[in-house]
Amino acid sequence: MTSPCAASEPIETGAGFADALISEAIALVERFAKTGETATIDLGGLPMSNRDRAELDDFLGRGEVSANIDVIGRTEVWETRFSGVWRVRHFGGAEVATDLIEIAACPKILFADPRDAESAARGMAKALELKHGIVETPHET
Amino acid sequence: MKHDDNLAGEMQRRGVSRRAFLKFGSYVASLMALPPSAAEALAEGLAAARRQSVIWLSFQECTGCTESLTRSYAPTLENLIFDFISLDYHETLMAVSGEAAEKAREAAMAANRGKYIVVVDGSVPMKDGGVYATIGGRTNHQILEDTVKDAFAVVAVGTCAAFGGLPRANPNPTGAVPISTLVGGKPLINISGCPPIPEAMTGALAYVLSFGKLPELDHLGRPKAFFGETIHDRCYRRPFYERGEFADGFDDAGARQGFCLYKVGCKGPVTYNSCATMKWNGGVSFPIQSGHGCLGCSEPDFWDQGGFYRPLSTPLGAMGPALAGAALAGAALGVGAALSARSHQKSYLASAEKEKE
Repeated sequence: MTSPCAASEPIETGAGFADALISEAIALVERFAKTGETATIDLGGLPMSNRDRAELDDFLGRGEVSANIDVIGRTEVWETRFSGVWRVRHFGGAEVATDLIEIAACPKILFADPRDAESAARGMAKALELKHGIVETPHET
Repeated sequence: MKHDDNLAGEMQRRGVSRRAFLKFGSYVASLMALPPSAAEALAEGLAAARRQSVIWLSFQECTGCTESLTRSYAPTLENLIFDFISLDYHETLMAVSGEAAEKAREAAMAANRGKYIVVVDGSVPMKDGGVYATIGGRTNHQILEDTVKDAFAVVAVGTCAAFGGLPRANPNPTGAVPISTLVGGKPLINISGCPPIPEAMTGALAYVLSFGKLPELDHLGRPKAFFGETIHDRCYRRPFYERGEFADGFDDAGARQGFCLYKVGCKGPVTYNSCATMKWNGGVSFPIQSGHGCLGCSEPDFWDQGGFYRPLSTPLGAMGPALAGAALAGAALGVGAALSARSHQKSYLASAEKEKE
């Protein structure tokens, strides 16, 4: 229940954050193109209004690639209409927990870690053994 | 799980990849305003860490701090901290009780000597030999001393533990003291608030697990990442303050238009906490957004600052340098508002007295 004297919503006018962030992203993409150096902008701590966020989302749009990751909740990843500029949005439950712009060939979270792959190789070998074991075990009657 | 496994190994066995650590690292880095690049360092640190033994002691408290931590709004992420720690003793949450519970605490202390973290909520009564709060025949003070002596670090959660809180409020009948006065030279983090913001507890613990050291703290021992700015600094109503637009009561036109609540007692200018940015209940709101001033619950002696509805303006000296800074920042507006608020308050008190008669 909301108090009758509650101010319903923080100020909704744009504070120009979208343009400032886009300018920063341009500089980072230029650097990435030249040197391969990746970068991340965390939108979480910025006092952006909903209008700022909507402006940024509209400008960046969605490009060719998108992915959903199911690890300790949902994560959405998509490349914006600008190559090398990605959005990574981590959810905790239904809420957005982390909102990032990543400048990279591919966001780190999409990569399989070699240490996980090492374990996966062992797991696959075991699974194969199990598969054959199950197939080859005669039925006991 | 086996205590000699690292967290990555444990998660892997449960079919969870290292992406979980990267995601959690991003979340904590964002919470603590660390550079985004710190996410990978956090993730690597956590993955390599052993499960952290935590002993949680509850003394003179209301269990609000535990409620705050366990009822997080981003459960999949925030609750992951419970996969990274081994909560070896917590009277409210543990299944066992009595002697079995005490044995669990002793066993955890013996197995993790010098490595475990003690989390404390509640203050400790010291008057009359500490008889006002005992568990199993031992005073809170005895339990604390015994448990802390071999700990790696102590985390005082909630204002009662950090600063004495409500139990220490005037006239402090039990002689309550904050944890900081009883743990000697042990590394200590204060996470104040009544209750504290759950993300502040999660973030601080995750930081210690990842980096093996305490995060940067302010002069009151609080993580700067969460207590570095005042509520007023980040309050969305601040533009009203700057323009001199104040609510004079909770039901007037100014209040309905969302004006600044300074004149009705908001303690935002002297209260260091993250409520204005992190908010509560999944980012839905925080007290000021719901129409009530900040009580200043994360500051020492907040209960004894002269009343929640008393404007901050006077006495400046008594409220310390933080207020002086805030008041100077908005001097012209603030002083005028303060005087007007004082007269408003006097008339309110006078009418209340009249009603009594």
